[in-house]
Amino acid sequence: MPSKPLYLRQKKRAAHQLFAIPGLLILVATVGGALAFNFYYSFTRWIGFGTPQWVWLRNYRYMLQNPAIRQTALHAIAAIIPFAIIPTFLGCFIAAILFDYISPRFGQTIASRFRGLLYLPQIVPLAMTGVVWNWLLDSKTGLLNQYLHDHGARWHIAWMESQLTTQIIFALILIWLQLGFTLLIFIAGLSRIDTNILEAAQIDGAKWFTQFRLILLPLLRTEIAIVLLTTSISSLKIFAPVYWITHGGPRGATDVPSTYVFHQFYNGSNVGSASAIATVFALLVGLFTAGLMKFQRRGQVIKL
Amino acid sequence: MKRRNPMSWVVLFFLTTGVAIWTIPYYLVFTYAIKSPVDQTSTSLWAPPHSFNASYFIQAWQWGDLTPKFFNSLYISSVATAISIGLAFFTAFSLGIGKPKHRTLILTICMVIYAIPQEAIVFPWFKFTEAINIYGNQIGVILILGILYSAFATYLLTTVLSEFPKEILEAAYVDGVSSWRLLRSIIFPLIRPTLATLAAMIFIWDWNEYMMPLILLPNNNTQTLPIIIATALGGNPDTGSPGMNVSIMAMGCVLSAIPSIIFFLLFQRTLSRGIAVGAVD
Repeated sequence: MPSKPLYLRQKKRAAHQLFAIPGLLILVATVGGALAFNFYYSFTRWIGFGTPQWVWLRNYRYMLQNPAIRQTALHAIAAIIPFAIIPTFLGCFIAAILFDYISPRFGQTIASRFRGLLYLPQIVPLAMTGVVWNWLLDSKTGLLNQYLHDHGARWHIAWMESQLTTQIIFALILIWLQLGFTLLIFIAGLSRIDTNILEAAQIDGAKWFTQFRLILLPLLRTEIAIVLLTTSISSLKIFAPVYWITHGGPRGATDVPSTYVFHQFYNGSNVGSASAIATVFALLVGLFTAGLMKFQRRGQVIKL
Repeated sequence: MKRRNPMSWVVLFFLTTGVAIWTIPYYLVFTYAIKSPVDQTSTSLWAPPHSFNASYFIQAWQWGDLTPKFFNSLYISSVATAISIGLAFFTAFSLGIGKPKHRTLILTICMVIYAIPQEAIVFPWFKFTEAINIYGNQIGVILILGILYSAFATYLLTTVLSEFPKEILEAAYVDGVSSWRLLRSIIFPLIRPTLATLAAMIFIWDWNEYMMPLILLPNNNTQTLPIIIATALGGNPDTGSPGMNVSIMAMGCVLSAIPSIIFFLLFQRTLSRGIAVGAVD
């Protein structure tokens, strides 16, 4: 490279960098400021108005001693399985089938119809999805029980009233919700792949599944990483699905930190304690994110 | 087109069954919403409607006084999206093209901000809106959502822009183009498809946002459409649940999902292609 363009490039780049200032300032001032206040509230006893009363670490001690709060944290961590891990691998597999098996045999239209339908839970507002599932699963007036009853079922299952069935059903609903997202990213990733590689493999007589395992899966490595990253984070901070579908119930069986804290704020009962939980969880999620970003940089440039 | 064998029909069958199961909840709601009252009781739940019945549509709309709520949502989502993209575009240009030394650190910070659970900032922000007298005003929701999602948009646009073709930049530098010209006349036109896709994504996120509007908009007249419908349908025990006609409920669900679905249909191809391929294709 001749020296003049290089010199020019560096000078220009310095000028470009100024453009980051307004955006980053606004971002850091707003979010950083809010986090700082939240951190301050977490050391106080406060009902949301009046003067906060400084109580040192009492809120944090309360949090560690309270089994209900511990449960919410466990639920959020457990949500990683149905909301991140299963959808990632299922999505990867179904994307490969749609893109590499169905599309060449039955045409692209059918493959993209399928993808669109599987993506529906991602675009319908969760508030609506919650109403729909409750309509289907309500123990007395729900469609599912009515249907079972009409077809001679003697038993009567309170789907969303027992803690265990709710947890199982909710986990299935989480898979149902998330699959469309992972599928979309994987299909996008697959469409970048050079089809010559696949054709060469087929000429060599590779079976479809071997081809999936040995060629497609390694080529999708970056997508798998990015999808696992984003979905794990959304599991840890999961709010809307819980809020609208189970509302944390029954009796806290699906309560997560964000819904717990939300209720504390909403009812204005105990802002200090809620802020302490929010602080801890923000810290956890932040560390998790930063760690995964670092881990990912060792590999390739992340492309979504 | 490849040869189909019995095996491929089996695969298609299983996949179709799976997709059918996936869509059952929405299928049931949608068909129920447009069935006539006679249809609802006489035919099986699974049966397609005999005719299109718009009366529940009109009832739901009038009952919830949904026109202003629809515009509330439209206003909040579009302005917030514009703020996100506007802030992110300049930052991403600086990070992706200007490549400052600490850009990975800055990107990590952006990702962390994007990932931070909203409950850690919602209460201070609520106090802030109270202090500057905009509590209850939609501007409070718009600002915080716009700023929050600008973090994600910055991250995404930066990764796309950092792979911007060097030849184009090199040529621009030799011609002595200023930063502003480069940004406006070269990068912006080339990255527009990505911006549009990103805007669509963020618009849908804003439209489906709950925690901020629930806390910052206490008045139903300023509240967003999905929240109003769900709340009125009894989907939200926090705000009480007046019993509701199931048909109107079904129609409410369909209504509040329409904008997101339109957006998705418009951007379907770019959603899966544009973001993956990046700016220039």
